[in-house]
Amino acid sequence: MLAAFGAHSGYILASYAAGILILGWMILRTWRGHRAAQARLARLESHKQ
Amino acid sequence: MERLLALANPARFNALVDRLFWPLVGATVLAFGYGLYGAFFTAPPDYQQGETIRIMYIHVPAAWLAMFVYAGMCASAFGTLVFRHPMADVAQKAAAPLGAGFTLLCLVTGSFWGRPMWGTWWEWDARLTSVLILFLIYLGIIALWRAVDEPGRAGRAVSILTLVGGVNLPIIKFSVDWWYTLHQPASVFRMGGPTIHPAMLTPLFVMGLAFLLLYLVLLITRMRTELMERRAERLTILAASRQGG
Repeated sequence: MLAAFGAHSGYILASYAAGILILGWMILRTWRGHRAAQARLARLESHKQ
Repeated sequence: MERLLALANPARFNALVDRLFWPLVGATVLAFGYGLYGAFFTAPPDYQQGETIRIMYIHVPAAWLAMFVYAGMCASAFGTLVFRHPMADVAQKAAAPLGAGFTLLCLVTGSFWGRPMWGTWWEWDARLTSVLILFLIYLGIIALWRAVDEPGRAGRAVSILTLVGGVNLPIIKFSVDWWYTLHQPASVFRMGGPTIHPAMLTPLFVMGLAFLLLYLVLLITRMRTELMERRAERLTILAASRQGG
């Protein structure tokens, strides 16, 4: 399929790969941070009770 | 304004996020699916740039979001300094790493587009340099948040830095008009309307919408995370003071 995009298909592929990497990293960091905060808060609230 | 003030209550904010989160996730997935299909299969190649134009569908939405996120942070900074809205600095802190990510994506994809079209990965022209400065401002804001422990003080310091850095936004937008640049002039948001054919403009707007929806999903999640972290911090201090007393 990539060959259909001609001589510059490598640049197109690299751009979308960068998109997947950077947006994926943003999603992963957000999700992991959220899970970690949830776990920390649950632990502290259970200690409080 | 009243609605904004109502959201000052974290419980109300969380209730609103509970209602909005999954519909927003669904809309984001749909918009990316439709936008990418358009970008790769329905949009025609450009008469000058050929297939390389397909980089536009990721580069331009990233550039829009890089500036949109910063404009939102300026509004939040104003809300922090003037109205002392308790959610304004939470929004600012949550948005900064996302804005940095979109700006980095804009710079990287711009480089991949510039190499085959201009013959260079990078040029110190006004548009490219001002976007690089935007990225450095984002990094400065993230560093300042991490440097100051107390969220209230950090929020005020960051707000001032954010508003000062806001001067860069019109420079980015009008750099292609004010200076002779390698970067092409505005072709979508310009006086006289877009100069791009609708067959290319539609997938571009859909990808822009997808990026915006993704930003909203990540922003509200990060704001919730920040609220939980602040509550956890208060509980830790409370527990320590009980033990000490």
